[in-house]
Amino acid sequence: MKFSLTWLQQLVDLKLPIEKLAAQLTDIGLEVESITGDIIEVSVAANRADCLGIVGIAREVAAINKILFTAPSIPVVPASITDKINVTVQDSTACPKYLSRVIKNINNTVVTPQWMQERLIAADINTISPVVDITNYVMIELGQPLHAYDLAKLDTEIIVRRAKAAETIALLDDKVLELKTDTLVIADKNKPVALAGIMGGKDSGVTAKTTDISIESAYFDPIEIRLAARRVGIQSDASYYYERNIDASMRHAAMERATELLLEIVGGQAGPVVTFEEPANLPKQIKILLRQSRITRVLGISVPLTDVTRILQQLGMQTEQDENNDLIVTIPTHRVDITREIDLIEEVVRIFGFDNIPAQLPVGTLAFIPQPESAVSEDKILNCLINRGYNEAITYSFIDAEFTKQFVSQLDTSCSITNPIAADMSLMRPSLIPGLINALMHNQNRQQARVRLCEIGLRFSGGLKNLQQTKTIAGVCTGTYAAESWNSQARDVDFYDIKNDVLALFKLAHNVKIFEFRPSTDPALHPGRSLEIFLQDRTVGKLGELHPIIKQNLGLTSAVYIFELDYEVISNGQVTNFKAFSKYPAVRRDLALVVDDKISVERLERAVKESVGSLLTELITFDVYQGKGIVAGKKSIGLGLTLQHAERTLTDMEVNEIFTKLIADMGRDFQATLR
Amino acid sequence: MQDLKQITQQALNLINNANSIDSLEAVRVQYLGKKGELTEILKTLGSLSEEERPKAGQLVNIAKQEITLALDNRRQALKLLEINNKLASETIDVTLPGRGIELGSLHPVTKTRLRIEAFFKGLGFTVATGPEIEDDYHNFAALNIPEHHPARAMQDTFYFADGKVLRTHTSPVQIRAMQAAGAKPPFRLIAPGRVYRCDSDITHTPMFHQVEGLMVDENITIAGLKAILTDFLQVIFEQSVQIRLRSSYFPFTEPSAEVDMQCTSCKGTGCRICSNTGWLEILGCGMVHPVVLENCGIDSEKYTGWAFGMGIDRLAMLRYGIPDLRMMFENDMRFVSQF
Repeated sequence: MKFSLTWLQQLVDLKLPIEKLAAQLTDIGLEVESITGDIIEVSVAANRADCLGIVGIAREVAAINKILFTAPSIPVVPASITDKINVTVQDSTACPKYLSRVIKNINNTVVTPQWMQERLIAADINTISPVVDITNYVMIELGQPLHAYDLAKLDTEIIVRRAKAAETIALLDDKVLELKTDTLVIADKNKPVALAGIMGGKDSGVTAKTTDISIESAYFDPIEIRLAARRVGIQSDASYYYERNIDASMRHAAMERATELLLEIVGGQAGPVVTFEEPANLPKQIKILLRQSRITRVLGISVPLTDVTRILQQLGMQTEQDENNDLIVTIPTHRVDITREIDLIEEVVRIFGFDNIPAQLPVGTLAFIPQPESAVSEDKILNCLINRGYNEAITYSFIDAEFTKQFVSQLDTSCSITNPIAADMSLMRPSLIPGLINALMHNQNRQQARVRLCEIGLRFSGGLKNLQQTKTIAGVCTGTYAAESWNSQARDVDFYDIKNDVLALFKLAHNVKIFEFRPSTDPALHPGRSLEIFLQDRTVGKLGELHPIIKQNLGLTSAVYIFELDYEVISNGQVTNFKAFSKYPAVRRDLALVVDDKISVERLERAVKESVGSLLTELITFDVYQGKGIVAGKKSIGLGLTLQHAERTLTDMEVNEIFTKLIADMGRDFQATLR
Repeated sequence: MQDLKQITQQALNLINNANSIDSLEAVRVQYLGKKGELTEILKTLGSLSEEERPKAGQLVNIAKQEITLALDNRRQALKLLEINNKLASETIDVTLPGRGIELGSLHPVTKTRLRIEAFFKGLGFTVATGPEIEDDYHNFAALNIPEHHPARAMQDTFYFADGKVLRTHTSPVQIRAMQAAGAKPPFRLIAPGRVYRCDSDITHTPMFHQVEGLMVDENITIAGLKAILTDFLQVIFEQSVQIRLRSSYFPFTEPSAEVDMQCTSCKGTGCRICSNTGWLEILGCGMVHPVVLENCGIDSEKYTGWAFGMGIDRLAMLRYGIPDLRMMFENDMRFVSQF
């Protein structure tokens, strides 16, 4: 809503600098968007149609400044001719009120008065012709949209009805619409002449040649208009007003005001006002009890009854005091947004001023918040990764489906936004990896060769049908292991680095042992350098080297390593349960076994543990060797075993026996030989 | 005994001139060894008379002690010298940087979020979360935004084919949290997370972060909300902060207000950051609309509550002086590694 200060000052006796007024308007919820010279633009909340006219604004301004305001009285213009047009409303739910008035012998070639043109231009409304200008003027003055038809173009009557199949209408903006049968139209005997509450038809519109007109002042159901406007894709000034629920009781006044202005500017004679009205479907005037005690409960301070009464009365409400000194408030029809007590309290505080409420900390009962020790907090998890050199990233949750296809086989794209900002920001990410790779590429394109990023966020899987929103933690690394330095050997990051990062996360949750690593078949990963992580036969993550072909396709220079895990398996940890350790000396013995190079160390270690049994307190693989001295297709595994008894010192003989058995077991199960 | 003095003096000279442990040892042998000069003198004491012997013996012993002490001192000095020389040869350039993997960094939005969480946890608030793809009920209807309500146009919503939406605010979490807790106040919670709006320009990204705050109990008032918000901003910005509340309209709160904070950069005198207004729009808040409480099965007569929603990204930008919101989601290492 845009208006000039001068116009406002003609309605209220206000002598404030424009900046001060703007601050007041902003404070009470009419946020000032701009001030240009004398013209103020305010943003009107969706529930305040009353402030879409200057009269409504003036009422608010008067209330803040405690000055008297009486809405301009609108004289009734009696009919001087008997001409009228019959009105039939077929849908009184969609259109509970319809007023029509014929005015004959006008001269629409005169020039709209300067003062009116100025007010329209200030409101960003084009001046078109005196008749149209007057209807628009009443709209910004009283907040009441009107429409004028060229009476000569109307075939004998007005019918408010649903469109018939295959009916079309050419609109004032030259668009031709084919109407659907659910669209409410204003029609004459034969054809639709306007889209109700949205836009008039071109054929029935007034022109310079028009001499007789029919003025429409109607009340349409706001939802009806909102839906219709959205269906036909037209946002007009009229629909903007009707959608926000204009004051139905003002329709007569709007008609009289328009008549007054028309007779004054374009001349002519007015017929009687034809009225259709279905009171049952119109907003009712209601009464609401406003308790003083409730104001205090909500605001935290009590507002003097005299202030409450003054504020409400100045906003156009009637108040009566009941025996408890509470107020019974009659709500005027221009405030259909007020339906219950809390709405009145808002009105009170709005005008009373939030500034006048002192800040006072709330008092409440202390309450304990559970602090499960088994839960690993997000900042702990992030800090673990940060300590390992990761930088936290935040990438968009919607990504490019085409790009994502490279990483996800049989990509389900059903979970895509139907109205995305851009086509490459429509698919809800099924994995955090594509977004992180994208960020990695962004960095490589900016000469950052070493990139380490991690992210925590939701991933969306299962398509729309079986949608799962799973909190996920992921990381990507490329370039050297450590930052380039005077003493580093410039080693590139590799599989085992990122595996250790994942193990560190498991360690956080004291959960390392329950996870199982299996070679991965993920097509986005290097088939020989990737693994899938299982928890009780359920996949909970993966890690490995990005498939070299994908890497090449993306133009990345060095190998990329990734990991992705269900967040929950890290955050649901375990509380440590202390295990006693032996006070007797431990025996460390090393063993180098030559085995087939297809045999995984994990398998070998498992077999060693089984063979040795509970005396084995620690087992490490300290060497893996292939090359000179080892037959091709074989590898040498150096194992370090620590043996310890809980209750006594182990003898050499015992240890020797264990090793003899172990070597025999390994020979039998893996054809392992001592190196 | 003139001899003894001379010998002692010579020994002391030799000791002081000895440059190594070895040459010092040679001096020791020369004087105190089995055939050393002083040892020899001791051997001659037997030839002296009974009266002379004790005195002469005492003198020789004094000389021996003097030489032994000098030897010890010199030995220690030489050892120290030797260590010092070794250490000097081991000197490295301590100005070179350390070795190994360096610390990474936390995203400024997360950093800010964790500070927000810490503030409210300290007051006994819990942290709640919810889904980002939301249904109409939680994102709109339960929050007093029925279908066809003009307020739906206030939030440019991303839709899915099945009618679900990307949540436009973190407010649906308050509905979920209140219902999950069996609609039994008191409630003190915050709900931080990603939110989405179909909007993209210099000051808007289609995804951003919000934190929702909710307090419902028997004596919850605007006065309390003002106090918490003031304290909160002062803790976050670590300076005295003035706030002002302006009436506003949100369907899920009533009365509703926008909260402005005095510009932290210019202290209200007007600058580029606050567009010369002296104020920064920082959050929206209000008293939870009775309809929202009732939708969750809570007695709106007995209980009142307040709620607020605040952009975390904006807070982070102000706190760390980040000029452009879009930088937040580019993940440029030169950006993220600064935090």
